[in-house]
Amino acid sequence: MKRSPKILIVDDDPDFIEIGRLSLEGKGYQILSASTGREGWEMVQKERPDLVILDLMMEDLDAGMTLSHKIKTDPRYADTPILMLTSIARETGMDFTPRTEDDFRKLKVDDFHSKPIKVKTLLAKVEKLLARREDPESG
Amino acid sequence: MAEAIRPPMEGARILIADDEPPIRKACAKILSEQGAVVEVAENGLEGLERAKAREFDLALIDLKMPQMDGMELLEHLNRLDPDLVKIVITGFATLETAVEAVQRGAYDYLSKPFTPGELRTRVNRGVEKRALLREAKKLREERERNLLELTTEKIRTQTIIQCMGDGLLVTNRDRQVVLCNPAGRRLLKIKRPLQVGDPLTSVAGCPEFVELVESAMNLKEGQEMTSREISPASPADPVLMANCAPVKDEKGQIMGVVTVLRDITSLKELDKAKSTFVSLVSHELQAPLAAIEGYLDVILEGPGVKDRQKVQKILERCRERTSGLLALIQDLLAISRMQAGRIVRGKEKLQLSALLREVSELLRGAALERNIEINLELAEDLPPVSANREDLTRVFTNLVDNAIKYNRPGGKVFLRAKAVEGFLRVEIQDTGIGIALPEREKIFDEFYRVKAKETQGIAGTGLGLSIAKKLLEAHNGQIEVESKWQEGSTLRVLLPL
Repeated sequence: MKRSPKILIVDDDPDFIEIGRLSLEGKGYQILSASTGREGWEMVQKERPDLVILDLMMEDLDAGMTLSHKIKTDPRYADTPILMLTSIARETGMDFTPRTEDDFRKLKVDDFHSKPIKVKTLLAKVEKLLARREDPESG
Repeated sequence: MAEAIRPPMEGARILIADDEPPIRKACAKILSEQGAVVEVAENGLEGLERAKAREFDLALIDLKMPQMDGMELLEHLNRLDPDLVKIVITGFATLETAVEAVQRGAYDYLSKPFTPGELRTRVNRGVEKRALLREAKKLREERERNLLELTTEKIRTQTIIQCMGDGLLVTNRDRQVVLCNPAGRRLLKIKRPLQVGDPLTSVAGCPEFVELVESAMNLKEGQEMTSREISPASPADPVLMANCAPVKDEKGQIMGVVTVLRDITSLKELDKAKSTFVSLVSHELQAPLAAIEGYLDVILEGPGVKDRQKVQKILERCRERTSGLLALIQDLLAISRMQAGRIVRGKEKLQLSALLREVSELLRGAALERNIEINLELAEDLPPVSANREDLTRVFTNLVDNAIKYNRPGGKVFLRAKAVEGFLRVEIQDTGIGIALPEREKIFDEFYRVKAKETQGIAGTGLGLSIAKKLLEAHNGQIEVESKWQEGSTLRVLLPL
């Protein structure tokens, strides 16, 4: 039997981690969590997750971006898909929402969604990103 | 026609200076009959005395008199009243004397002997001349007065323009500056002295402004003015609201444009602060609702939550977030009440020690839960402060609640109150996690919450301290913080006695 995919949620909102955990565990995924970018990086190295769900703004304004950059520029983890979540565009006026392939490349993420995200949407995005990882040709 | 009926001499004051009694008397009689008011003098000296004593319209002067002759009197009278009409009477009808007399200021001359008709004609003409002179003088004086008023008015207008808070800029048809007041120079950041005729483009820093003046020159029928907000070239410059109106001549031709500039920077800043606040509030309201919705989705749609205990835990968390949301809304309502420029009402003489005891009693339960001890150190006989009970209860509840929440389990809270130098000083000290220096200034900002491992999971709206600060300021009080990271914080409240 195939092992269940490991998903790392990096977010400083304990409710979001809990909701993500409950909904994704129900789908048979194994959930890890971290509440800062630094913890997240330790987890990535230790656990080698199959997918990272990442909040853009945590201890620093761009903690999420720093972490995604670290993951994507390290050959060991570069192919780990990243789903970036954020709610900062509206409050700070800094609109990071990527619109083109190039934007995604620059942000070093594979998908992006603004918060709040519906549980259904989250599950769908996770499934799609993991499927792409198993069969890179289809992505 | 009324003028014609009334003889010109009616009421005219006439002085006759002649040393020959028959002539004096005859003249006086003839002129009095015409309605003139006549005075006579026997010689030049007496004539001068009479002229000094009252004003005359006309003087008949015999040239040859003892004591002071006609020529000399003529000169004296010239100095006395330049508008007095003088007619000389001469016995030697020589052209030379007549010319000399006229050169010395006489209006006309009569040669002896003369007929009553001749006298009447000459005097009538003289009196008419006098009337003209008086009229001219009146007009001259009036004109001078008008000029003076005009000047005063001009100076007044200039002063108003100079000291106006709004900037005023006037440009002509050729887009040249003809007037710019000090406020205008300040708002447009004009450093060098302005010359009348400087082109507008060299004065206005931004093309938007030139465009606006241009559009005022080309206003459609029925439009009286045009206005626009002018965004600053650099963020340090003021935001301006410019109102432009064309100036027209009597034919309706546009002569130029008057521009009034107002600094609306502070309005814009207020507007921005309000938007930021609304955006922060929306985010703060969204976060708990999104969490609750997420949990509900998990229960209603999620596949794995069949466990009764798990569901119970989720619902409890939902309830927690709901009460947090309600607390936030209450705080927001408190802020909106304060922001409506509220003055403190319902002040009473408050015994702070009693109030502080009540607050600590109210929070004793919450303190016990975390095994935290509240110590009261209240000075005896504290003078009362004049304040609103509800407001101060809210302030100290917020502060003591924080001291409990951000404490370590088993920690302590000290509540001290003492009168010092016209103030009542209340200190709330905790043995908690403390506040690091960079955050110390921000803790009174709305929605600011210290983010650290230690503060995770502590419920709060981020409004408690900002509300406390606002309420204290409304009471002319103040609040300050002293803290050491990992050792604890002391919040110090000063209320005027």
